[in-house]
Amino acid sequence: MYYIQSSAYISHQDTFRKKGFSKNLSENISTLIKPDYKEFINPALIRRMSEVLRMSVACGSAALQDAGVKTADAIIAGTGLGCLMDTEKFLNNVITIQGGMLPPTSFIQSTHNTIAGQLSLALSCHSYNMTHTQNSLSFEYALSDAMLMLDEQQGNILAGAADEYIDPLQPVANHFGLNRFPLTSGAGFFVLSDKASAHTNAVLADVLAIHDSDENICKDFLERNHLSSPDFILTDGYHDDTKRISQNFSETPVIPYTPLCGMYATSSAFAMHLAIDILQQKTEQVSGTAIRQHRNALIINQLLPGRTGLILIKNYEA
Amino acid sequence: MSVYVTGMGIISAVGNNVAENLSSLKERRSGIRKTKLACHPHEIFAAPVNLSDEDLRTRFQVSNTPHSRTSLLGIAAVAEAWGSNKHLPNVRTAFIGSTSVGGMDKTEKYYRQALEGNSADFSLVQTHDSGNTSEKIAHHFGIKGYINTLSTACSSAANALMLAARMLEHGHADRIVAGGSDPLTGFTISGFQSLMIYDEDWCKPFDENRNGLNLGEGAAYLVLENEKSISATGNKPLCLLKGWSNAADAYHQTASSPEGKGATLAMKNAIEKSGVALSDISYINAHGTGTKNNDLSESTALQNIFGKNIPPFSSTKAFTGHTLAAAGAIEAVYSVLSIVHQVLLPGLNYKTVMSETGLTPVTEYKSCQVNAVLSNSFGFGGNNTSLIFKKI
Repeated sequence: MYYIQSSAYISHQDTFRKKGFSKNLSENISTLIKPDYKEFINPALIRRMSEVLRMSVACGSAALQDAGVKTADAIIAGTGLGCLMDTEKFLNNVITIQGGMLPPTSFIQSTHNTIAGQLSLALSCHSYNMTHTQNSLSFEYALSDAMLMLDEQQGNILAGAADEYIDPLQPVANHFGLNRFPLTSGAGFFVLSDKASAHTNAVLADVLAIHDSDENICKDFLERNHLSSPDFILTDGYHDDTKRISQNFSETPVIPYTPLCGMYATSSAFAMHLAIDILQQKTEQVSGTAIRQHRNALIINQLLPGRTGLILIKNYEA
Repeated sequence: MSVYVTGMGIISAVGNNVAENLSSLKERRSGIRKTKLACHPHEIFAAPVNLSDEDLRTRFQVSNTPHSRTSLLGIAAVAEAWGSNKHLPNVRTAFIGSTSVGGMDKTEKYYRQALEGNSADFSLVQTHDSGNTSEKIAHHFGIKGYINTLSTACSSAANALMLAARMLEHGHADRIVAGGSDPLTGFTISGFQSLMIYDEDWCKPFDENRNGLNLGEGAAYLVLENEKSISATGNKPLCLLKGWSNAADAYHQTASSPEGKGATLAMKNAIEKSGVALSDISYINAHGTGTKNNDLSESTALQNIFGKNIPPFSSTKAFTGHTLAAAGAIEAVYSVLSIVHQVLLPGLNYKTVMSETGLTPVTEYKSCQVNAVLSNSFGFGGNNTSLIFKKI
């Protein structure tokens, strides 16, 4: 069993350390709702950090605090596009300041593993430190790695995902028709453990990331977890496939999550944070959808065609 | 469950396949040269692969869809590693790639067009994300299902091999193609120059007067299998991947700690995992970038682990240049070659012993009984990975 001990998430909803936020979801997702970063990050460092680093370090630190553990036995991050703000800044310098000496900070902070690396620095954590980047499945692959690690060893693993919006993404999204919903940012970390504790929020029952979108993937996944249908489904809802999924599970409430958090590669981590809150708080109405049972939730991520991410979360009652 | 290496492929500045790379190592022929690259305004010492994107497309019959150079180099390496392997219904095959900059070689062109206010060619930016690099390679070889990418800067490919080994050990797959690729880009060249660790001469790993690294490009992929897969494929094992570990230095975003904490932890845990005695480690393919900081920190870590009995070691980066994410896989191929051919591989450009440590690297290609090889890959953000390959 993989126990979710804590869940800290920053998004365009009021998600950060707000138990019960699933009851008050907003239709307006125009701005990122940030905490006071000074509570979590040395103020001298904040200025140099991009948004994705601020969000990640704040969430990683908060998740550890909320799980009642001092340090992590592994830090595993997923990111679709990495540290875009610093990448774009340095790329801009390379092209516009030809030949001159360039300031190195944005290059240093441009690599994908800056997210997990900054967490290791902030937490003085010398253990396994990994970064998965497989576009829309980055978070699911990071979770799979965390579960594999808990099969190998005991402990508390800090696993999460982060992606940030920058303006140059908009024309690219427009060109490729990926602009049905606002492009947004989001990051979050979860403490996963092989043992339940007084802090346990929920159970991570199973995860699958696969380069396939066959209709049977969902059914097979539920079967291997001895379920015929989940109590409710969170789906990306980007491609109007909500209807198709509902047909397979006609009695199951379906909540599309992209309209709630906006569009970014690792938004299924937002869905996991939301699922945990719904299960814990037994939320009965989630943005107009009635939820009757609160035993388990299935997250279906088919944000990009031909790729499927599935996450099964179960309620935990001590 | 054991993890066998059964195939490998490589493309680097010292050769377009394994045999050419081995010849270059044997003849001490570096791929680093003073050159003017299209992606950078000045002449620099770098190690480019001798095939253009078009050459690679033609040679490996790559479809006419957008491919980053990162993917094209990867396809070249996997073509050799995969060889005559076939997809079999009961052999679950996965792909774990790695890259530090993904399709940055093409993004640079797109971004320049966009900045100049011209109508930008969006197909150039379509391959930007690192996941795309792996998908393009995997699809070229018909690999579906589990396709993942790791990105931990200069330790990326070593981590891909490590994740593959862990998944095989736990029965999550039967056969995994794992490795990494990175192209030369203006972004990375300017980046290392901005850090003032890009040598304006040939890099000199483990030399007292070393002054930085030279960048290279390339790719390497290995085929790793469990027993079940080998009995179905009939592939001949080359050696075992026996130990692995990743540890964080947690010291500085780019520099390594002077006491080599992360590097020491990675080596110690990998050796423990492998069950190989220290005395059975016959050769160490070091990370050895040629920067002041890395080579000192790594030397200190070697002393922490081996005391006064440090096995023969060298850095092959004076041949290939530092190929960033690909380095861990390129050096894994070299480690396997050391076992298969029972040889020690040389470093180049070494003259003066480092005053702090007094360690002398291997400088000649020479026969030796090789039982096990330790390969180190250390990345930005203090991401340290060590792998242990062992003779069967």
